[in-house]
Amino acid sequence: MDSLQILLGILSPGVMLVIFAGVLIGIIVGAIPGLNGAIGISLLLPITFTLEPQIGLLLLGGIYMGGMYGGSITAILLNVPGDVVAAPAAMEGYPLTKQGRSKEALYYSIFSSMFGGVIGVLILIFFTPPLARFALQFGPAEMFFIALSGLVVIGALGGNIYKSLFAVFFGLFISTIGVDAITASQRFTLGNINLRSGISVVPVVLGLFCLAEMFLNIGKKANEVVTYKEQNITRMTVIKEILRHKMLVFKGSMIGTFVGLLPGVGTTLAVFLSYGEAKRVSKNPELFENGNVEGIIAAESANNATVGSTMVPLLALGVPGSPTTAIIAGALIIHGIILGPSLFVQRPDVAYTFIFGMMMTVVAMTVIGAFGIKYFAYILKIKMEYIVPTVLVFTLFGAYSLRNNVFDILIALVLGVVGAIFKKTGVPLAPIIIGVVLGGLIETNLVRSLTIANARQVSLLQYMLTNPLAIALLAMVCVIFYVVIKMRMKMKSM
Amino acid sequence: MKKKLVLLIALTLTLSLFAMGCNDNGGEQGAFPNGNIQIIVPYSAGGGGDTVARILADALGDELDVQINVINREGAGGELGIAEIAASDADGYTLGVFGYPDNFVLEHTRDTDFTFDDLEYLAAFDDMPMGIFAGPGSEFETIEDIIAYGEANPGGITIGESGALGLLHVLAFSDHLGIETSPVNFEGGGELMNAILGAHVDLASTSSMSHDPIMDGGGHPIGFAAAERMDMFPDVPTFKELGFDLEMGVSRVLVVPAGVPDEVKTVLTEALDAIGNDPELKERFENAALPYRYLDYDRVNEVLQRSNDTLLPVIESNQQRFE
Amino acid sequence: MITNLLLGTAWVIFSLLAYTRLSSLPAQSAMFPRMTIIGMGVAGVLLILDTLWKHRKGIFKSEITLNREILIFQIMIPSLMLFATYFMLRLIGFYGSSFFLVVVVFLYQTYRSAGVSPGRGQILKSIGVGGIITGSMYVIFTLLLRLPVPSGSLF
Repeated sequence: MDSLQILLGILSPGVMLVIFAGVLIGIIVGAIPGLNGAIGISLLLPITFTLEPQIGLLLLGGIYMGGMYGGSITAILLNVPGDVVAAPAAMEGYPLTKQGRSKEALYYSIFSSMFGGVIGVLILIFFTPPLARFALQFGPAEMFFIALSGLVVIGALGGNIYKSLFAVFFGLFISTIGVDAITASQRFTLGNINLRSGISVVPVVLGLFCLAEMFLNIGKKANEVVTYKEQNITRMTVIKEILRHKMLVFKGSMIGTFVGLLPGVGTTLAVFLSYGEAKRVSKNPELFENGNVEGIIAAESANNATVGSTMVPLLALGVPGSPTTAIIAGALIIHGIILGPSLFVQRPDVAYTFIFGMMMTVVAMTVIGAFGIKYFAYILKIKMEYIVPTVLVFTLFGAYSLRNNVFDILIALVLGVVGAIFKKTGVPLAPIIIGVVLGGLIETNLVRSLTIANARQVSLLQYMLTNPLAIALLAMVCVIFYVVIKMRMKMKSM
Repeated sequence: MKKKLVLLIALTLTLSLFAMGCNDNGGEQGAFPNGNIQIIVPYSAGGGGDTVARILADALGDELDVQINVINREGAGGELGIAEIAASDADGYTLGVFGYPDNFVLEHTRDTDFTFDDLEYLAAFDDMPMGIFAGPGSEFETIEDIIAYGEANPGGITIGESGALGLLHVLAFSDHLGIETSPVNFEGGGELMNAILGAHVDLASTSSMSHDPIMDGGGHPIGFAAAERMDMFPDVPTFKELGFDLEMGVSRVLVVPAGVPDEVKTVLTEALDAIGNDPELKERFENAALPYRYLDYDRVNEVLQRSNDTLLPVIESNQQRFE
Repeated sequence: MITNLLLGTAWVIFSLLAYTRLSSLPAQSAMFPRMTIIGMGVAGVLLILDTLWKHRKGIFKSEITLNREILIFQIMIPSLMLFATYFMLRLIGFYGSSFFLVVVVFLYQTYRSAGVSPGRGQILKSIGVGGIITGSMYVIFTLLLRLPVPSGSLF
């Protein structure tokens, strides 16, 4: 099968229809709070059994791509991130909506997602083998430093420093709840069986962001409500503006690609790293969290870039690094396709159709996004008294469907109250999310490092700094730390 | 306009009332089954156990001519989902699929809400032995290399594992070899694979399903904890041949909560026999790199009981490692 | 300023409570939680000290927008509604309690924002809205996507 045939296959109407359907489903599940790409993919998994493997894969790939973008729509319009990765989009996009610039914010989101998606897929197409080998270099020590860099970035996010400090430790603390993987002892479970499996990040985000926002909306007087304003802005202006920030797009995509390669790290870290970096280099850091498009560009390009790169270790090594890619691996396994280097030799039709087809998912996402924005923005025309109850029931449902567990709804509710109080007392919420995401990563890799260091009879520090890569990463953490401190000093003097 | 609105409202109201009243899980009268069946899987979507459940849901749904939905109820290494299966209504409309002996290991290492006998085991579908693998460029070619190094450096060999059974296998393996090793826990198969292919751990303890990706990545198997050599991988020795009487593996079982009426059980076991002995199902399993072995109702209970008797001493002798 | 001090005190108390729970854990499992708990406590103490210091210097700038009105009407009452919904959900399942939630929130919202008192017409309207929202969720989740929804102990 030569490449021309593969290309013609992708461009056939049937395949294009599947891709568009996948992306549309992805955008919808992404936009609904609590549902995300992974849930959409597991929903449609049974359908792929009856399809040809490469077609089924493209359906799932389309959902994955669309899901990464969809979350930003509700984030920008309602301050309710449909997905964890859209949290920065809410932080920057919603202030823009309040200023009547919702359409502009949505354009920034879709076109940044497009650039990120394209770069991620290009990397998938051209650099899969070397990057997969590179990803293998990351052992416990390296992963620990990566996670640490994510913690340090929090310092750049703004807010009272002590409140941020508390928030991040609170998030880390939440991550320790549950049966610990190393000794299987129960930590802070208060004897509740549901707490044994720990608190995952989705109900936390639903509580802190969605429910807290809706709480504060429920009692709002009419004059405080955001209304829709027609705005004259063309797509070309926005694209040109994004291209003016090409370093931001490039860096966001690179951070997304890099973090996406590493198993178990997750897109959330990439998004916040990129967002923090955008704030660091920005000429107007004080505009952040007041509606700065730079934040949207950085975050949205990063999350869509991870789509391509998380597929790299999956296809090249059979290592699924995230829940989403694990489900995609399951879809391949059922078709009897063995992942790993031999995939490209034994089933080139599947492998190449899939990676080239991923480019079409970006196209489909851009088309749907760029032309749908007019209609998305109509959400703002709906009165708050209809939106609030709708978002509330969707949020309850989303909290449940992550693990089909009613207890997750309770967690979201409790954190909703906490979030509403924190919001009104100036405690930043994003560091809590980062803490929850990174806590497990930091702890497990620290314990793994300790075990291995003990086995090799060296000290922890000796083990952690054997690899040049680890040393380089530690240096990176130190540099970020220094820069953040300097930024804080500058902000204080202003 | 207003009339239309009222009509619409009335319509949706009836619909939602209907939604509230109707229970998806089966009807009240008539022969079993006359409603949707659900299969609870105590793992997240995408893994081996989930794959088995989805293949079975498809085949069994066709056989019984009903819709079968797979519900992933992950958490705490399978504990939450298994507890939910055990606590669900014993009417035959809730089934469970998971990898035995996860329930047995969990029951004896933690304070679980279920026991082995809270479930009724209707059939088993595969038999996947655990194995020990070495990464690319490893100095451990054979089991003798491991013993030699392990005796010289007690605790010096790191073995990556994931899941309750993974750790148990590492401990039993070390016991049989008479050496001390350092188990390193990983959250899932993906992370473990990354660690072994990147040579961050010396060996990995995982099921035979990982054979192909590890070989592809330049690693090699040391041996499988199987009774005899596997048809899929005839070149890999068993620990038995190497002189170590170690057998340990995962077997995906289909269960119902204890107390399901006999007539319902008969319908289910007959349907399971029909699909279980169908070569098409075998082919679908083998396509997915799952070594097929169908055990019917009588045989599965006999085999599991025997396996429990051999596992219990291993768990008990390593009890302190789980606390 | 008082709110900041209360916040700091609450954190310190929370971390002390959590700290007592550590004693029963094996050393390896307690290591990381201990760090996070100490971190929370220290952040609380620092917040108190910082607030007091800034207040003395007269450079205290509050970032707090919480007041009694918000606490009662925008946090406590809405969360009561949601917790009530949660307990209903345990009893009668998802769609019934969603319907209840929509009706209650709709009435409360229109009362607060537009001052519409919940008369007969308004109640009928809220029931209609509840029917539409719950009905369409039923169509999407149960009929189209076949997703499981929480079921209660009664139904």
